[in-house]
Amino acid sequence: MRYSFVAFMGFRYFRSRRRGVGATSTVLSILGVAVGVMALTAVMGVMNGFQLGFIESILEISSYHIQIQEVQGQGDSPALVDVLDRLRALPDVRSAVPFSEHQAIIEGRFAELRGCLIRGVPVDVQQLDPAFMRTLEIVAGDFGIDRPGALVLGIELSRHLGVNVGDSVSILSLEGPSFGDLQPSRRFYQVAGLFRSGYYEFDLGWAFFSLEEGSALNSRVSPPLTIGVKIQNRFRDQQAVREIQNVLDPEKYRLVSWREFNRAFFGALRMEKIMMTVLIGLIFVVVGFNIHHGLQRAVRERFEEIGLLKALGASDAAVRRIFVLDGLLIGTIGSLIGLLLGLLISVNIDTVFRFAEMVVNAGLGFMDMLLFPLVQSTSTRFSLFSPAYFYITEVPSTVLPREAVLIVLFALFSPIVAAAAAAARVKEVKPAEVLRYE
Amino acid sequence: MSESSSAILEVRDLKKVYRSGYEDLVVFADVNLNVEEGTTAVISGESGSGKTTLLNLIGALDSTSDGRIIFNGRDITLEEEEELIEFRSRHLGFIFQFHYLLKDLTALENVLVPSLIARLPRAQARRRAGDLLAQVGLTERMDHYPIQLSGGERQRVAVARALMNEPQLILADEPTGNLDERNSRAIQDLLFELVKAHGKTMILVTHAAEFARMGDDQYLLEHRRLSRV
Repeated sequence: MRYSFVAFMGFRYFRSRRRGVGATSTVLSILGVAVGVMALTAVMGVMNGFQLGFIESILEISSYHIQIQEVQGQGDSPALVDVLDRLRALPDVRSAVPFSEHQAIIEGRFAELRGCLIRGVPVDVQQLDPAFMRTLEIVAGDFGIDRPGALVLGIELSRHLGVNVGDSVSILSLEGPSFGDLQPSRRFYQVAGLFRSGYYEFDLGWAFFSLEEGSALNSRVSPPLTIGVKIQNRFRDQQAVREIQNVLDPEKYRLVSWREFNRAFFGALRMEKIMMTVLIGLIFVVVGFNIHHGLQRAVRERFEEIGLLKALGASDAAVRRIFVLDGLLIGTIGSLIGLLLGLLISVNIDTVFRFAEMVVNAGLGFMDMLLFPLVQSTSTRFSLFSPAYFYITEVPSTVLPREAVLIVLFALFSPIVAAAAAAARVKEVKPAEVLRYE
Repeated sequence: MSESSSAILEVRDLKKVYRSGYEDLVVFADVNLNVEEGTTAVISGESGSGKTTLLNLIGALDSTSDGRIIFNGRDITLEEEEELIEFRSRHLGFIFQFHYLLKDLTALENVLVPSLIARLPRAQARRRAGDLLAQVGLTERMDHYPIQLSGGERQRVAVARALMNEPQLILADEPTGNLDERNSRAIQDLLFELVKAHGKTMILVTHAAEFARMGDDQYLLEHRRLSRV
């Protein structure tokens, strides 16, 4: 078995640096990488938790994965049934549900009027699209849109209107056969249930009723009937679009994928994530400088040894790789520790926040006690994520394996580059000069 | 090309000049040397006469200003750095005045280093390193670090290291210059004994007359010229 000279020397140098003069620098470098990976993993986990929650709500409740609209919207029932049958027969299609959307002004018990979007869905939507019902949490009443005049309201909207299950609300919409003949029309509905989606905008501005109630409104300002399609893997939307185009006439139907439909919002989420990654990633720049400084000193201290290795036949590249391996080991150990801690924090994020709140509140309590004779106690408890402010009951966290791998690679990149830069001086070492014993 | 067909090393009209500002400092010129295979050539001379520089040129650790160094028929002055790296690793063994052992490695590991650089099979190399340490009388000290060894013991490890890759030529630059008399004598005897036993060729630079007399051929480097004694 051949044993790599670089690996042998690299591990020996790393072991010696861990114990010797460079120990502090090595430990700080490992800690730096670990803290960076831990912070990125935990922050990305929480961001994913929030973002995927939003995305899930938007895709399952609102935008679907693919929306199909008739270019010349006739909306006649036999054609629609045929289209739905053809769509549901496709292997990638999870569900296909027709829906209508109506802008309206809604009034409840309070004098306040609110604009809202009412979506008409089939009465058997629970069977047609189980994921929709799983995402939509019914907090009061039921999703009984099959009853005539029944409406299901978002929980926040119901609060603003001052209504509960069984109460009556009135809806003002524009109805008429053509744009010039539109007339305001007022209809009354009974609240059948209240839902919570986890996405504040939906809970504040959305309501559901049956497709039949929607067609009764018959407004020209509402778009024609749309079919919402959900596929098995939302990231294969382009392939699914092509499959659908094979079974539907592309000239008669317009297809919009979820990426296009939510481009601005999802783009903003992505940008937010990238910016956060870059900002936290700056830790690695600092760590890189620390590693560079430490290894530069190590190279300087080992000039004679480098000279000897070169005299014995080691190439510049091989000696440089010894120091790069040092950086790689720092990066690997730091990354693994950081990843482990980051995953632990992500899994127990609520406990971590509760602990942080407890510590801060204990500190505040202690300060109150000390300053009691001088100032009045605030008695306000510190809260990191209060449901009162943040519209959440617990902090969601999802670590994506792909992202965890990217974070580790990102963390390895910095020490390796720093070490390679520090090891560049190896080339300057001339054995004939450094091995001259005087 | 060569004066003698059995010469392992031929040095022809070798010149070394150091440039210092606008002045050229000639260390030596017209140096000619033939070293027969299996012999020891000893080079003496005053401090600063250029003995170490000559050895560094032969060892491809420094570049020549003029002349040729022919090792086994290959002119190393014409070779690229990559070829010289291979030349040092495969064909040369260095012993310096100072041991230059790697402080983080045990005696055994220090002896193993040349074989790792040359990518020799490890098990075989380990056996050979153990044998060499036994030959220099350090069987019991194999796992000791340089800091745990005496000056003489460190130099013995350096001798074993020089022999590790079975080089054809050993370049020894005042290997006893840093040792007391007793250790000097021991290293001298050991070095000549091992070189003979392994059938190696050696170029030895030394101040010690007694040590110099042990060589097959003696040379003196003075007034920028190398002459046979």
